[in-house]
Amino acid sequence: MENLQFLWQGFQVALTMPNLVSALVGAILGLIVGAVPGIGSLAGVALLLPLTFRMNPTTAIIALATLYYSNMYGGAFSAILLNIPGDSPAVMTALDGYPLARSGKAGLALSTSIVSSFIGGTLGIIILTISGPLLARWGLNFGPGELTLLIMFAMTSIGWLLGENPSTGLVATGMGLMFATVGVDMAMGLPRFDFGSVHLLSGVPFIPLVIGMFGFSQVIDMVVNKEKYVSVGVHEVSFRDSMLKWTELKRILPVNLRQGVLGTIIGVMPGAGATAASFLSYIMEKRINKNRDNIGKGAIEGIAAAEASNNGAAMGAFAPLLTLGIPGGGTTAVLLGGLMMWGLRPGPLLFRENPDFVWGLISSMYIGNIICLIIAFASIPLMMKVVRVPASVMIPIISVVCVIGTYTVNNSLFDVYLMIVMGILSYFMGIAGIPAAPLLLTFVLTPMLEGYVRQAFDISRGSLSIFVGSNIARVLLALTIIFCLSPIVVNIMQKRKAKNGEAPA
Amino acid sequence: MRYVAPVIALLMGVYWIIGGFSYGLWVRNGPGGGFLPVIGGVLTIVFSISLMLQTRKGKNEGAEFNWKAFLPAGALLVMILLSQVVGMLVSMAIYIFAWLRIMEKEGLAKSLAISLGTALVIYCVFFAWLRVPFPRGILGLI
Repeated sequence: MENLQFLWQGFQVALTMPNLVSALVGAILGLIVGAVPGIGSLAGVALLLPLTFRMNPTTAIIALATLYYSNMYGGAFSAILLNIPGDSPAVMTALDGYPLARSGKAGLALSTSIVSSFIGGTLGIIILTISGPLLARWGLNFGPGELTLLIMFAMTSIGWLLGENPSTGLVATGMGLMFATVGVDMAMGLPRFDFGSVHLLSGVPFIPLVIGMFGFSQVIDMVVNKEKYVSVGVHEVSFRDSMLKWTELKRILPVNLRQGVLGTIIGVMPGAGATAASFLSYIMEKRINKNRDNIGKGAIEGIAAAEASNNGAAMGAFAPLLTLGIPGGGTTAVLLGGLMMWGLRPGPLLFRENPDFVWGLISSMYIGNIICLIIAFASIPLMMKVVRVPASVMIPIISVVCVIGTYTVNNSLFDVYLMIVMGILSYFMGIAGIPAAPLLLTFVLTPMLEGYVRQAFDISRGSLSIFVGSNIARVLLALTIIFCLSPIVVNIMQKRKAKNGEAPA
Repeated sequence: MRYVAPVIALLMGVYWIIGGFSYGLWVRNGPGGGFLPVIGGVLTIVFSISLMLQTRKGKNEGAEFNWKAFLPAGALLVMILLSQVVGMLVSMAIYIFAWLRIMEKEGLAKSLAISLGTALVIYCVFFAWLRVPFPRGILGLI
């Protein structure tokens, strides 16, 4: 409970005018940066960093940290309204958010994402407050063997996204595997499947792939099936209509609570960030939720799972950063650079030597989260206007947004060409009935899986014992096997039931 | 046209399997560079053949092909080519204006307003604030 006392002192630091203004600026910039496709939190934090040189360290880190987690709020906006995820953690949000927006409930989708982000983020900060250092140390128990099994567990869940015809989903999974192996092989240092192009040496870039398969393919669909896109603003006109009703809040609250916690735990693990968290939470919810049949078709539970989790993970990433000096990903690496620039060394001593800084930052997260909630809700009426823009006007504008979003990643026209090719490929996949979601999931998870598998085998010198060596590994292995076998077992039991039902009494 | 994607997947699968074997399946103590490519290739070949058979029997639901699907890509390629001459921002504005007038048959004033308005927002966010180095074109315009 000593932490609560420190937290109270931290609030006194956070509630000063410069720090409040800095949180507000970070929140607004983060929302914009998150909403614009192609610019993620890494670019936003990197852009804001030089502007913070003259600020005092606490004010500066508050601005940067607020930008980082408010980016998670903003990423959902373009995912829901345009089917172009603002950044990779918002990809799963698009799966339910966009269909919901297309059915005339964009306001409901937006308010679900905002409320879920708030609850997930708040849970993350609370967990960070109570057990940040402990959690960070626990996260270090996840070595390559455990992380391999975690990713394999996530991949077994791809089956749930296969749809009614497994062949189509498995073609997509295979394609995702193949796309993911393009580029320099990290273990061997040799290029694979780069077709002699310098641009493919780092692999197929993620943002052009996502924007092409989700955003540009949407434009193609708008041109081909124009009659489907008659203005959908007619269903919701007022701000009040877009608010969550009590029944809807009751549906998403349990989702937010469990996925917020799961997201935070995944965010604590170095190497697993908000993207992996949103994927795993979405898949988990698809398995266990009562409304699972509608998840993927426009269910608020899908949005709630992805958003609570990615905001929880953003908060969880601060645990290893502050307590151990280990950044969880690119953005936290930039934050680490900022800390060192201000002469602060992250680690257990940081809490002891600079309590004002650390607890000021953690307290500001509570305040910043509330600021993000208010600003995000205030921007819903503006967002609703976007939905009412007719498809005929949206087509060229979204096309241009796709080009800009793709180009800003690497300042490369190759990425833009790739985006266009992916969009056309996605169209042909669509007419063949092949879904894009398994391809995307496999594409994201495969590099992590390959990396961890190799590290694991290097450590164990080829022995499989590393995958059963710790309690965590054994639990994950058991879960993976259970989830692999459960559809087969359920199928057999259902057939037996049907047989018994048909047998004469 | 429903066979295009499965055929592409099949050809990719074959290429990836051949490449995968050349990178080595098991190197030193762990999976080599070809391990996952071969798995991906096998998966894709088997299930794309299955999908094509199902499509032939009419068991797979998809959609009808429409040549209009190539219009957005074609227009964007023209826009990118134009950007090499007049710069990206100007070519974007021309593209939006031309699409609205020619494809969507919108009025002159509306098309101008939307194209110039969008260009202004793009300029403020990406050129002025984020300073993204878009191609300037031979004429040196933005």
